Amino acid sequence: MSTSIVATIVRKDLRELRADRFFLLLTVLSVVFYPLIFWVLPSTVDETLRVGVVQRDVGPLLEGVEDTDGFAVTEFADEAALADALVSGQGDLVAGLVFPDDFLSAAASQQPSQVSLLVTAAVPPEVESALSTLVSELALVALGEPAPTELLADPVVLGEDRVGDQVALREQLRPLMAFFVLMTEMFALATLVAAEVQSRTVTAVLVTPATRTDFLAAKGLVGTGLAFLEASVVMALIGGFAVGAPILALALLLGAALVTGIGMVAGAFGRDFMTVLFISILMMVPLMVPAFAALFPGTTASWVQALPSYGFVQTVVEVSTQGAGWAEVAPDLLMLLGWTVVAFAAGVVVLGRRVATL
Amino acid sequence: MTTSIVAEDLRFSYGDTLAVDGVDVRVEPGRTLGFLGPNGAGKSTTIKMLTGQLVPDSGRVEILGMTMPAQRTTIQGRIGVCFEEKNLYLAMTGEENLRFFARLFGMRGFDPAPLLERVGLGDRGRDRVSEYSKGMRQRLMMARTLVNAPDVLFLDEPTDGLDPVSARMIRDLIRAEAARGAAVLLTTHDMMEADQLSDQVAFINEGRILTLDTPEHLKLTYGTRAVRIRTQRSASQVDERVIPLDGDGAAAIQQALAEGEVLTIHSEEATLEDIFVHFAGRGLDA
Amino acid sequence: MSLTRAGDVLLKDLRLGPRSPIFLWALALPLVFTFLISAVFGDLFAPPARLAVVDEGSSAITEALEDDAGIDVTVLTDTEEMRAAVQGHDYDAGLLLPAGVDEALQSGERVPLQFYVSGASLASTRLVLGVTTLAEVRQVAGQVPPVEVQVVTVGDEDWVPVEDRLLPLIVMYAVVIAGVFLPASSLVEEREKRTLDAVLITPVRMSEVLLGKAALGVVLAVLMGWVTLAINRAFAGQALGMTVFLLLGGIMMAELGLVLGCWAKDANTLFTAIKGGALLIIAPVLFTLFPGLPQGVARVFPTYYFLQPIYEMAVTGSGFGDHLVEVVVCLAICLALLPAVVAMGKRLERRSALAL
Repeated sequence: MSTSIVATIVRKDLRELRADRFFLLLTVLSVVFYPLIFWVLPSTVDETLRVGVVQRDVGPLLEGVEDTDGFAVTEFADEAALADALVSGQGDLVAGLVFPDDFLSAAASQQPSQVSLLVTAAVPPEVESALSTLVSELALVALGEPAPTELLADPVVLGEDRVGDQVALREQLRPLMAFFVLMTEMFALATLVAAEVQSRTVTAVLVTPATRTDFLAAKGLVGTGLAFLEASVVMALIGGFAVGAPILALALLLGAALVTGIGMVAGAFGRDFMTVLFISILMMVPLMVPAFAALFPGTTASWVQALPSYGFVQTVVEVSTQGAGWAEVAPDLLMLLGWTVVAFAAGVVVLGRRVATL
Repeated sequence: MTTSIVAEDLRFSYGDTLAVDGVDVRVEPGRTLGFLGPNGAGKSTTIKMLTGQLVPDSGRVEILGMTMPAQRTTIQGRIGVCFEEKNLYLAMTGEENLRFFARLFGMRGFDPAPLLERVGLGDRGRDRVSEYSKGMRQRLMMARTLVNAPDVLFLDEPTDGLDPVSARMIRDLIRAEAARGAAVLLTTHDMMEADQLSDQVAFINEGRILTLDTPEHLKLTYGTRAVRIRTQRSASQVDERVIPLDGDGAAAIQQALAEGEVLTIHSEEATLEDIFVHFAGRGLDA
Repeated sequence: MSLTRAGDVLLKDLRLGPRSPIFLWALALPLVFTFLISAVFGDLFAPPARLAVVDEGSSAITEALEDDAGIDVTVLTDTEEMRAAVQGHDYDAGLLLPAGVDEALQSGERVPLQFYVSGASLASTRLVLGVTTLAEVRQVAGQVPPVEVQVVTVGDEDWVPVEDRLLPLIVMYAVVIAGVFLPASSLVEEREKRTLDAVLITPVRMSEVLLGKAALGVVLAVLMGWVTLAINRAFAGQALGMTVFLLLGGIMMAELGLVLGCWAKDANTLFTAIKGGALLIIAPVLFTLFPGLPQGVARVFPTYYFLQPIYEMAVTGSGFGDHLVEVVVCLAICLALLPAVVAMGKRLERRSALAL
């Protein structure tokens, strides 16, 4: 393998990509669009139910509830003011409770009374139900009926308690954004390779001192380099390197090499722009699954954990949201490394064979 | 009998570049006109004007007595065009390609088998064109050109890049079509092909026709009336002489034949390329 | 113009369709998106509270919790399995009901119940689950609160759940990919492969080619729109009215596809144009998804006039007669696009002829 020849082919490839309008547009869009989406999304998670209340007499009862995480009360002078606040979104209230003036005395003497629960149509049913239940609970407390059990007073928290420090949606989107960027670069490489195969310019290259190894090395370098560079830029712009930068950089590098291998396979089989696009998307859809799965709570299904991109996604999630270190992410990185080697090797072999048979 | 192709004083410019500058063409039914010229001479542009793809900036085109572009649709139903580029539907089979174009000519229930057989693709009609070799694709192109049994054929480099067997098959087809009565306008770089197939040859360069005549008459007119003879005088000596046919040429030839074993005898007529160089000042491949 | 020849072009493209990746994409993508968006994105925006229950004695509390529409309840059999699942945030909370809890509660005993909470669950979710569970426990214990809660809805009663608001997005994909992509990519491919030259040398006219390709786009746009609405059970008795708007939308998108296909010199340029101009097509969907945006702005975008009526007929129960203005506007847009289609077609024909 000749480094000067490889460098020559790399320079030529970069020139070709620079002249590709579609690639340039996607690159620019990625660098602008993803950070824009990221910074527009809220940085915190609102985990508080904010309720407006009319009737000061129930204040002492509500004090006990207000001490509970996830609940906040705002007092209003009358029902009209509360309704206006709900409709206008003032104070981010989810609902309002209007207690009758004699609520406490009526409850204490077991006289039935009526409480109005004001909600907008957007309120989920479980919130409506929970607030109705809360009112019932207040009535029972006023009645002097103790709760037959203490659920909320002494819950057992399993796992790290993240109340007040929840992971915002935009943080969860980081792996997906990084992956979309890698996908864009993969498609660019696949198109470049397909064009060279279809136009037989690779044949013209291979009748010079350039060898197949030189050609494949150049494609690998261009693909991995560009994917890594752009993904790093976007990650930096979305604050992805604030924690665990070296680990994330390694994950991005391995991810870039992974998609490069896939890009070589797609380019080897693509007849034209459309088929390259189609094959690329077909191959990338299953790889995107772990990134989407990271958006949803709970344990990832085992079949998702088996996908090649899972190691990449899991590393980014653990480092950026949990501050994981090398020891914690080592299994994920090793898995990613394994799949990267497989994908890259597959790309080299498939493309190498395709080139040899032209 | 109506002249099949009539073009008078055709002119066309691409922007500021004059591509065709006053071309006149006439081809009778059953006759073949060879159009020879280097790349960029104006051959393709002329053909595009004759087939209705381009409207001339000036001049007149009549095909089968009908005026182009006014009667373009009717004319195109009676002509066949074989493009230089193999513009077939690669994802379709040979049969599907022919059936589709037959329908475009308004032919319902068209059976492509005889035509495919005729071009030597009888057993490959159900294969996708993407699986065809270069020669097979060109033969399918010819088959497509003949789908509507056209009265006029426009063939752009029909044997370019083909092996000798495929090329001969295409030439046989062209001869057969001319014998059927179709007028053929053929562009080619191949001098031998032009010589073999054309009743008349037109040399075109820089948008103008330089000369138009039969190949034989051109060769005789611009060639040398002489014979080149190579004889083996002895084991180590080979003689070569050019003997003019005029004057006592016959006697000189007899003497040369008697002086040794004859290895080769060639007439010194001009090649079409020689004639082109004579007119254009450059070769056909320049 | 010969409709027969246009039909021949259409039939040829249909035959080629299954061999073309774009055609397969146009068929498959709306279905994939329907699944993804309906099954997945609804939960992303408004995830339900999830409770795991280990019931060692078939308590009435479990049944009552399962009947509560506001929370997702899963009954497990093993306490350790439940703890592990809660810790892994597969559930927001877990409840262990020992055997005989109902009897103990009914006899007035104070019963200690183990309530596990996932560290990753939101504080509000914990509160909701805890309060809801407590209410059911009180119910079984026979403690009836002397209060009636009357729910009063204030403000806009026409609020639509997010999964329903995603409907225009799904329909848009179905109509746009078939309507725009198919004719456009088909034209570009014919131009690149020079098969358009071969077709135009026959009696077929450019107008017939364009009509045939547009027909393909329209037919598939309507078909995929129909399939999408059917899968989402969104017809709401307005199938005919929605079909009219699918047809108008399909025609509009097909005309756009023809203009783009005639203009783009290769597939690369075509996709660049579509990517760059995607916002103009997708914008109305954003206004449906986010009702807080100024809705009047959505009317600037042409796709609003077939997407919005379909959405309103499906979700808010409006009738076809309520959208006659949109019908007129759609027709006007389709008519306005015609000269552009004709002009671009002529341009393509000339450029193809001039190409050496």
